[in-house]
Amino acid sequence: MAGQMRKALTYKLVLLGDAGVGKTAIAVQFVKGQFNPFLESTIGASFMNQTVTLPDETLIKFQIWDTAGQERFHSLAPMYYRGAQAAIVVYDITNRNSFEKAKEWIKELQQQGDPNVVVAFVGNKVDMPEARKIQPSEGESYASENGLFFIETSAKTAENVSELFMKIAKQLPSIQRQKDITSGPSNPGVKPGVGAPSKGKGGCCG
Amino acid sequence: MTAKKLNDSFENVETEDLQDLEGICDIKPSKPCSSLPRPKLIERPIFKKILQGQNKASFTFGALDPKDPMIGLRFDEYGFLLNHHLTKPVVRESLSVVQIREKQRKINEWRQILREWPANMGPSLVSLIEAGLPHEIRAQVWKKLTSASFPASQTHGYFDEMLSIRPRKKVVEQIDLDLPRTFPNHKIFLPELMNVCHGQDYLGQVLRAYSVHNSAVGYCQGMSYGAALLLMHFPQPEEAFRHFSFIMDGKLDRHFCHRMPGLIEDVATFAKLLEEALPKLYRHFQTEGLDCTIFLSQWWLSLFTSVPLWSTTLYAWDMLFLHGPKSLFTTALSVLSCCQDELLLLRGEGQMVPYLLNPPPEKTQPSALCHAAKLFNVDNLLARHRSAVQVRSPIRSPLSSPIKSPIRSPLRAASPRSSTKKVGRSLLDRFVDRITPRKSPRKRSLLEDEATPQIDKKKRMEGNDENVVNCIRLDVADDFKGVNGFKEFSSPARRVISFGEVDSPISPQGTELRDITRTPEIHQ
Repeated sequence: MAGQMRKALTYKLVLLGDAGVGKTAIAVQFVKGQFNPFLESTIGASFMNQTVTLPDETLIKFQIWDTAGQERFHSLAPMYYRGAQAAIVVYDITNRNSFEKAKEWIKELQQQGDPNVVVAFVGNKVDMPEARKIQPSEGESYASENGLFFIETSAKTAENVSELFMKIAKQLPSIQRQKDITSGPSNPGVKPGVGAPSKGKGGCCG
Repeated sequence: MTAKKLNDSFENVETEDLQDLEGICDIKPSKPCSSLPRPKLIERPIFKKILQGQNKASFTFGALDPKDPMIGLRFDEYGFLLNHHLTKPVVRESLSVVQIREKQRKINEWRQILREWPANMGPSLVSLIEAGLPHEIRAQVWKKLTSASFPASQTHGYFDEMLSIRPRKKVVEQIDLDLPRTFPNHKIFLPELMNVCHGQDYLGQVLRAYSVHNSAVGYCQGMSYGAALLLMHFPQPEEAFRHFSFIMDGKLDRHFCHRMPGLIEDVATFAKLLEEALPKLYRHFQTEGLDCTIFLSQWWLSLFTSVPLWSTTLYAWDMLFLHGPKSLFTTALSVLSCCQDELLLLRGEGQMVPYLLNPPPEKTQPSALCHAAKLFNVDNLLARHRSAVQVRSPIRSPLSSPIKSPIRSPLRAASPRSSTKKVGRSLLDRFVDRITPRKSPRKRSLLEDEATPQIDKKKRMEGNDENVVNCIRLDVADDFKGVNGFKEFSSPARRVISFGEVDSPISPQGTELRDITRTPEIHQ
């Protein structure tokens, strides 16, 4: 109905991963549609908001917590992932250590995080295929073993960045619905999205 | 970085980032790009020239003059690139002739004070520094403040010795990762000018040397910002290193070492201080479920370099050199106190965190923080709440020489003493008389709060008593306007903290505050 007010559903999303894998770059690409090769390192954590619209017109507002990657900040991490409904665990496809570190994050989330948390396992920097150390199959098989969804992105070229968040967004309300209305229809009518969320590149739609 | 890579990175800057300048400068991403002012682009041929090694001789630090027409780059007074893709567009006001004269007079007076620097800091000198330093003499004052405290063994060759020892591989990797990400918009760290300015090389040296010097800490992200700030003032890495260890050793290093015990303890202490000093705000944080760690970890671990206004950062550092680590508490409380009214209107993490991580420049001018700091007696508060800053273990030097720094007690170290050399005193008093009001509340707070009646003190701490606040403003503010206040108003908000956060309250000019109390949660 025209003029009907719709409330955006707010979700807390946390970005985790080793230092320098591109967590901030992914978030900035998603929120502002920009890439900056010299983003300052994140200290503690930083925070962004971004709203996306699902094809079924549902509004999802992400509160994105972008955490510091260095091992040392690990003790602060629970404060950020506690209560998060979604987590993006990022590794750099050109760096094996970061892949191992990402697996540790997954384990920690499985043990400490909310059991219903939607976790995305993300290999970033696909714009550097010549330096690739982790094959997509490796990431994919780890993700499927652990019931996560897997995607490879490039914060630099924006490849798959909005898709990543759209995928998360689509999973979130269904979880919410399952939790809230156990007997209700599960509404599988969410179609694979075409529209990217409001981003700077093309026509900006607030 | 190889020359090719440099070229590449430059290409990137030109073709990709600069095209989207508006976005980074813009706080509100949804705004149509075309409606925003397009900052002047960096002139490409000049960079090309630099990269090809031409004109190399003229590209020393000194030659990077803000007005050098050859370069075509414009820097603010602190050396940050104006209108760069990493910098907010800035509206700058120029100083009037009177103001320039006033500023020059202040600098000259400070030069004389520096010449006649007293052996023991008197309260008048302390209040002078608190009132604000002219940027031109800041490094010299810091030098004076630290000169007495350096371990003698650290003076000669120590830095080189530390540099000769290779840090652990992990440390080196992390440092190398952070070098190009540390103030890439400052003239000495510009990635495009890396091979002529050496700022990144020097920064790497300072951090590697420190990681060897204080192996318990090694390197922690955040330290690079502090070391970089010092390199902006002390171009010699050895000197920057010495001042860095002055700030860190036995005091702040516990904030940065493994598991960050110092940070965790100090945040807990801060919460108690906040409860006592700004009870309303404390209750608001409690109600809204905001943990102080969220903003303190960024403010403290970045050593206040994360706040948007660079003059605020420098004020925090003046206080750090002057009062030691307890100033972290004072500055943080002052910022909260200045922003209290607006914070009380914000709801939930979603509104409060962006505000706190990016406090509005117009609220956090150094003069405002200086006034606010008078409302708290952090010494008293800390004495009542055991603080982690009081318990510091001395660091272990990798060398077995007696370098092991005689760590000063941070709280005792900076406490103003009453004995001032005669010569310094008369000069200082004259100067203080001019810029300090008679019956100054500043003096009162310097001399302890004990005499103040309990109720009054409580009111002052709460910052609710308008009379007290006004009286301080009346007394002090006028003096500041001409000398420092104006300058600070004209100083630019340094950069966008990457989070161009949809609800961010700061306008590109950093001068007006958008209404963020009504986040557009409801959409038509």
